[in-house]
Amino acid sequence: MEQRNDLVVCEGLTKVYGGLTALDGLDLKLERGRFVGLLGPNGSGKTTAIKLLNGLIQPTQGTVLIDGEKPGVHTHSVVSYLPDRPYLNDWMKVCDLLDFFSDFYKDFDKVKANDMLKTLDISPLARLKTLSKGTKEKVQLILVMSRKAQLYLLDEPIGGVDPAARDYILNTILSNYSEDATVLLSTHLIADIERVLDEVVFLKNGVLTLHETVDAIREEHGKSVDMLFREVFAC
Amino acid sequence: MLKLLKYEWKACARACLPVYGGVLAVALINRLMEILHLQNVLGGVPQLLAAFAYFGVMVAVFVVTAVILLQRFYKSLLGDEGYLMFTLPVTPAQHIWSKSIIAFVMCVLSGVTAMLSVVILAASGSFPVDLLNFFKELFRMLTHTDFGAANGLLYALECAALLVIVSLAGILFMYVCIALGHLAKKHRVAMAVVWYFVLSTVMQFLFAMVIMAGDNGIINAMYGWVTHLPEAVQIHFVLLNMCIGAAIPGAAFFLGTRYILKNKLNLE
Repeated sequence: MEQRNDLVVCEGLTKVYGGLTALDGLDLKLERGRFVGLLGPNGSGKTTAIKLLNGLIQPTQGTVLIDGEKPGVHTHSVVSYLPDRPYLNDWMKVCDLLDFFSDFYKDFDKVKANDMLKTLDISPLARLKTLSKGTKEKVQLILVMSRKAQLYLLDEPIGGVDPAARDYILNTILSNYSEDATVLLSTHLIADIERVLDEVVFLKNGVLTLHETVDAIREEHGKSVDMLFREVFAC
Repeated sequence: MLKLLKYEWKACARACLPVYGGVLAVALINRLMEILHLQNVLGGVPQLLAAFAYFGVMVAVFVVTAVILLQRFYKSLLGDEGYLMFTLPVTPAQHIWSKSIIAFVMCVLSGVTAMLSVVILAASGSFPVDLLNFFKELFRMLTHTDFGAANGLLYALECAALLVIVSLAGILFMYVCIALGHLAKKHRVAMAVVWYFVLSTVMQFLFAMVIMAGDNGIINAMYGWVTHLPEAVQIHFVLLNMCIGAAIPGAAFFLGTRYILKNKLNLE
């Protein structure tokens, strides 16, 4: 089957919580094979956007299509999602979690996952609840990045870890996604990820304020993404 | 679906089976004290404690089963674990089926455990023979009814189906209450309890309406029609109607839960 070039298409995507508009009319198209930074300060709507893409919350208005379909069984089979919180059963052993992912995702590479666990010296026999917060986050990342997905939605994967672990995580992401896959990574730590980005999406108070390639930003604005971010989101 | 069942079983079994094992162990201790004539040791205090312990674990069997079954639906689908479960390539209907089937199995196991513990406490040496005779007699009764062996066995099957349908409908009723509670912006657990009372009242009202319909002649007319059927068929008619009567609300609870999980999911 021929693949569509637009992997993600959001039109007028809006989410209102009570009286608060978390995301306001987001129009966004993401092509295949791109590394995209979803950037904005806390509370700008990054997590809301990613949850809408996963179908974990329902839009108040607007539509979202991934690989031409609304969030559902098909999109879940092609999207690998890392939430911003611990979401795994902590009574399970790491090896049980590998089996779980292997059972449900056809694109899960168990050998690759085991290799990454070995590199990080994480025992497959360890129960999740016995691991430190940082190690749990690494296990989650290993599971998510061991899939050969079309779209990786990574919500703050480097937010809660030390700088050394940040480098490892970014290298893990970079070395484990295929060329025609797209990575959408949300963070407010721009400097750490700028070197890997193809394009950026700026969100401010739920509104898309910028969607450009990193090269265009450097050429047109004559500054780095980090500098532009600090300018746009200056308090 | 089988994979969902496997993981749901693992999650429930790790919480419930130790309690079920505990009740059997305590029953065994009580029985051993009786066999070894230890009732009067230390003024009978150990036996009293063992009896209290048995009562406690028996209550725990049903409480733990109920709590785990509700918690598994709420936490696994509508709590943080929902971020994993609802990003799996499976449908909401498959989630509901897997949870309700394993919940039913756990309910059956809790009942079997309770019966087994009574057997351990009270059975005499001839229990295996008595049990065998009981099943032989049951089979004989079923196959020697006035309506023939085939009808007798069919009645048994219909009763078993009714038990399964009523149990599943009861489990799905709890699920739809939790799902309706999830529609609230906050206090979702409290709202689930409110929905439980609201829907219970609605169900009682609907039941009363059915009875009133009988007074108005609809059921009487049906009764008149049924009495013209052979007696053997009448029993099938009643049992199958009871199955349908339990299946209709069960299906409504299932569809309501599926609709909410599919179209109104909001993991905030």
